Amino acid sequence: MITSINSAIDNKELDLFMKELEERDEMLCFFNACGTAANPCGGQACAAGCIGISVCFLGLHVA
Amino acid sequence: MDLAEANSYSWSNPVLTVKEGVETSIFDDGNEQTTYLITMSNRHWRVSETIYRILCCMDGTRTVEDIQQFLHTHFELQIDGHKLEQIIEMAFVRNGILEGTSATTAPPHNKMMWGQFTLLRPVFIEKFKFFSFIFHKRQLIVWGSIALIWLTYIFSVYSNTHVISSMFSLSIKDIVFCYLFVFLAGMTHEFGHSIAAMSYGVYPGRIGVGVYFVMPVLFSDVTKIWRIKRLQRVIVDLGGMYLQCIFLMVSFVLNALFIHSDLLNIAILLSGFTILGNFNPFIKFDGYWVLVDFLGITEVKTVMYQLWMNQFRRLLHKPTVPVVLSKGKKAVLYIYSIFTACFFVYFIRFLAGTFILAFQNVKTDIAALLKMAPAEFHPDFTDIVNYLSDRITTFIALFFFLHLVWRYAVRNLLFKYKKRRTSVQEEVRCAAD
Repeated sequence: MITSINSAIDNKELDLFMKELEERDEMLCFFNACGTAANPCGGQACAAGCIGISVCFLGLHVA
Repeated sequence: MDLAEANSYSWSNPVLTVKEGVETSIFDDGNEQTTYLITMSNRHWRVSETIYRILCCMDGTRTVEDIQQFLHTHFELQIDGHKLEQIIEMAFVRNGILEGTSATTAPPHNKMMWGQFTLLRPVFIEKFKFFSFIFHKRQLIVWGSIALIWLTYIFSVYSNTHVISSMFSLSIKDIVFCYLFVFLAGMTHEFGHSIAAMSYGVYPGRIGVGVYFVMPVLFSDVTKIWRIKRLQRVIVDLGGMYLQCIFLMVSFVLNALFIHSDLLNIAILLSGFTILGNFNPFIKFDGYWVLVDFLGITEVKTVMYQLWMNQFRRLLHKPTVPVVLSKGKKAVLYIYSIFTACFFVYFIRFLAGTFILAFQNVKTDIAALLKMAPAEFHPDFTDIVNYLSDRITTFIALFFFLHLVWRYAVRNLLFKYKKRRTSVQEEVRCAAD
């Protein structure tokens, strides 16, 4: 650790010592609108529709 | 005072002080080696013990030389003065942690999230803190078990294709009702995250809507939960699905006993079927955060990259970069990375398909509009609603495409142009001097 600090410091190396944690937006895809129009099988970006555990309901009437 | 002046000010001040409101704690990442968390407002840094020690020394009584001496005598850390100044500059001055400095860095945020709009402010959300009792251990076990049984029941009795076919028979008015109910259930989901965070003493962030890639999403900002324990973070991650499940289950029972509405039943099932999709761990839905918190790895992508690079380095007989993780966690990450790669092949194909279809739709619509005589063009309300719901994916995809073009092409070019212009101006000024 000490050796590392006394070597040349740059941004990449600093990552070993200090890392900013990302913002946490806990999301819910509420309309599941993503795939219906593009994918007639009712597939979604999250792929859940294709394995039968979800539905894509926005625009289902247009699929 | 501009940033350069602000930051040079701290160096002219011999005594270093950390800003008021900066807090430190041990970060729970489940690893043997202790890491620490520095918190300032809504920003969080995971730091090594050395950085933590340096921060603790900056209490308004010590200069750089004093800190150097203190680290040497108390922790046997030998850092020369110049290097210590460099570390303080990079860690505390640039991030605006030191008194008299302003941050020149920005917190990392989700680059694929756009069009965010706040629906509820933290002050309002905090009023629902009294619901925290449903996150007490006993309540969690009881309600969680009942919710799981109910979910199993609806998944065994109904299928997603059944719900889809039910949707086909609905009128626009009924679909709008379904949207509203699912939106309400979604808001309950987001409240679940916020209330779970509050039950562990964390002040909630905003709740809002936005678009993630091409997916319209509701979101709850729970960035501050970085400071609580890992298991508690997992409960906050699952809190959304937990509360949404309770809400749907209660609605389902009330409907079955008193209301007897088929439409409400479809709306409940629609929302119920969206719950499991949220477990997808490959994009930043709840499943991803559960994985991050369960493993205690905050930089999943970087660690996955390092693990695979180490495999290549071994093949080439080159020295590897140490990744301090247990064998079990490494195994999980290897499996996860393979599935992630497969998912992104699907996802990129999906996005490409969405973009192509969006452009084709626009082309078709423009051609149809041009062909049509003005006298024939008299759309009524239903036509407009039908058209918009037909094309909503198209519009979102087009906006996302424009967002990508702006972010990665136009803005970058503008930035480079400005940078180049500034450097030319500086050169001219230097030459004139």
